Amino acid sequence: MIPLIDAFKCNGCGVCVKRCPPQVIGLVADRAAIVEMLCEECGICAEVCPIDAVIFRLPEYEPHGVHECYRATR
Amino acid sequence: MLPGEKKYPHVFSPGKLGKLETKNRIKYASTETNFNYRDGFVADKEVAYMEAQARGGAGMVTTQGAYTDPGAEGKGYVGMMGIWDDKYIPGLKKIADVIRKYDSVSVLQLMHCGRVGGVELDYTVGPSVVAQRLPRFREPREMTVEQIEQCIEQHVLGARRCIEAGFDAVEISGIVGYLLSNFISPYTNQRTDQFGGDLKGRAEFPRRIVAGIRKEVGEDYPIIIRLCGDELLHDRGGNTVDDTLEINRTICGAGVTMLSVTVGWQESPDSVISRDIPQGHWMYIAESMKKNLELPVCMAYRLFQPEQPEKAIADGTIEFWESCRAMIADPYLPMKIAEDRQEDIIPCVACNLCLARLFRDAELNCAVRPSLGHESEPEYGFYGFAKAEKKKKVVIVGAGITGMQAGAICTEKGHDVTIYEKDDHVGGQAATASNGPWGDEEFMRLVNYLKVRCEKAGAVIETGKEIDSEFLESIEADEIALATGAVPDRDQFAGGHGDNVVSCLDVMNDRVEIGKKVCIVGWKGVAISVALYLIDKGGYDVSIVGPTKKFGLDVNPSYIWRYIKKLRQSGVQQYNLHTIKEITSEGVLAEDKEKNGVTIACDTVILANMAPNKALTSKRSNVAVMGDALITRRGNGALLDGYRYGMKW
Repeated sequence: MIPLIDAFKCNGCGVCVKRCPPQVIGLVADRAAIVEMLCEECGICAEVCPIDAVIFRLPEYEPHGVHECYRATR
Repeated sequence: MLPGEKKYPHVFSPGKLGKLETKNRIKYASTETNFNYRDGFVADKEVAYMEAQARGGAGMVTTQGAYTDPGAEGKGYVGMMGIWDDKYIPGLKKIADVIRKYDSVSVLQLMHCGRVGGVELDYTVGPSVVAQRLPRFREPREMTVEQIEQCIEQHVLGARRCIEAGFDAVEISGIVGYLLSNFISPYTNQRTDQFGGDLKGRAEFPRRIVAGIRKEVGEDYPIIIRLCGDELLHDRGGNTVDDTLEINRTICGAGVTMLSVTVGWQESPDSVISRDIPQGHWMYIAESMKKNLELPVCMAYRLFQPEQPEKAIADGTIEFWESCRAMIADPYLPMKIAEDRQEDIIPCVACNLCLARLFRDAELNCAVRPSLGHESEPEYGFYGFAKAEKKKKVVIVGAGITGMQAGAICTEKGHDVTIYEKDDHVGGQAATASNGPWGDEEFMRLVNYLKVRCEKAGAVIETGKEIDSEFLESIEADEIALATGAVPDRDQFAGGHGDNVVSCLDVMNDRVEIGKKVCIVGWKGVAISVALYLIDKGGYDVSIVGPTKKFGLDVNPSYIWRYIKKLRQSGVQQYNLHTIKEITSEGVLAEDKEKNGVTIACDTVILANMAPNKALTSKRSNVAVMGDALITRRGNGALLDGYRYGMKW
């Protein structure tokens, strides 16, 4: 599961850029952007984001079935 | 009879679990995955993973723990499956069916995570309010007697649903800090009522659960329980080994068919499952349980290779060889041992990336097997890669773990692959790291596995061949990949090219002479590895200098604390928060956070500030860069790059 950055919410503070272990997050148009091909799916960006702009949550089965974040990766 | 079955006759002899018979003595032990839906429903991804485990040939396959309470107080992992309502039975049934399909005995585990539970709540529950030592977890609340009674009832109902879903046996988890173990240990159980106090009182809660389930499921249905053999909480008032034994005797007496014994809590201050513990180290605990309880016993914990389990089963110490991490890394471990091709086993190197992921609410990942969680997706090639439509000629520069991983997959897909390596051996930085102490030689299992995989697929590996830019431009190939790894960056600091400055890779490969007083320049895992290597060799006065507040921030949390402890115990001087200004013949000149100049005098400066190796560059459009040559990372990133590159073509 690769984290999804909510670009409408992200304020470009850059905490995730600093903390990403493989250093594959950067800022594009003042919004965080992940180089998905190099993402290790650790979720640290979601953990450190002060405003919860990184979506890294498992989907719920009920009532709808599939969450937008639970797409096939890569 | 297969050749491996002759070699390990006891591992591959039929096993007995109550009245059930299993085809061999290998049990895939329960592991959380975070693959399921957040509301507890089983996901197809989990079913595919369990199918892989069953197809791999284990005699018994255990599901991950399922939480039994509607309030999710027992839920310790976001993707943990639920069993507190009949609505979960269809999903659970899919797992039972897929395990049975491959002639394996299916076991469902019930788990209440206790003081490490309540993952989506702001509290946890436990027998008493004892503050949690690990910052990740939440404060416990004391359970009332009614709540305890209700919890017992929920476990019994869980067992009923387990039968309804079609499982052959039920397992109850009471280890590492989960609820049952919280009641057992005097560290967390300070109650004075019938569920606390003396040994009998502390055993009462688990005993009641076992007795309740036994009454519900009837005489013949197997009940397995996982209990600690030694809590390793001696520093904070945990049970002694003898007390644990007595408590286990009481609990097992209530109707347990088999005991799965484990060691240590998450809060234990000692190493339990990391590489510094020799394989088979904990077998004496199983031995003591078997001798004193006269009950079939099984065990996981640092048993990655079949020799020790074979001996233990032959001796009658254990009934089943349990395996968690070794079978996450390769579910086909049982089959590969049976066919006597252990060189093909994807070896777990105990890196504990799997644990780190679970504790960050991420899906289970495996450094050595990127196909984990993608077993049902053909492009990940878990059951073998499909041949590519068009055969390509692929050249890879560097036979490190990235290069070999990519090379093996490309060859398996039918491409014509050549890997050039400048050293006389393969493995790159992983081979260098294997010179480290305390079990790091296990990295060679990984290197050897990748080498064999390349050779069997038919990739050509040319060692001792250094590639220059001219050659790179002239190679005739459809695809070229540079996997040349990382080297210390001599240009980062003034004086980095001095005579007293050496590369950490040369030090660990024993290729250079170094003085007695050394200073390591570096702040990541590599610098710590070099320090540990020198400590183990002995006779060096070691210091480490770097600008970060903590060293080894890239190292797995379950390793870093013991590494730092070892550095401290061995008298390694740590200059944290020191900006390096210059390297001179005297040593390292740095500035502390108040901008005071500090001179760290030494005979030799060891550079461990790894940076991508940029010795080779090319303007050709078919050249890719991967692994540490792209960004320096840990081994999991290197292997993932190689895998993803291989998947591309």
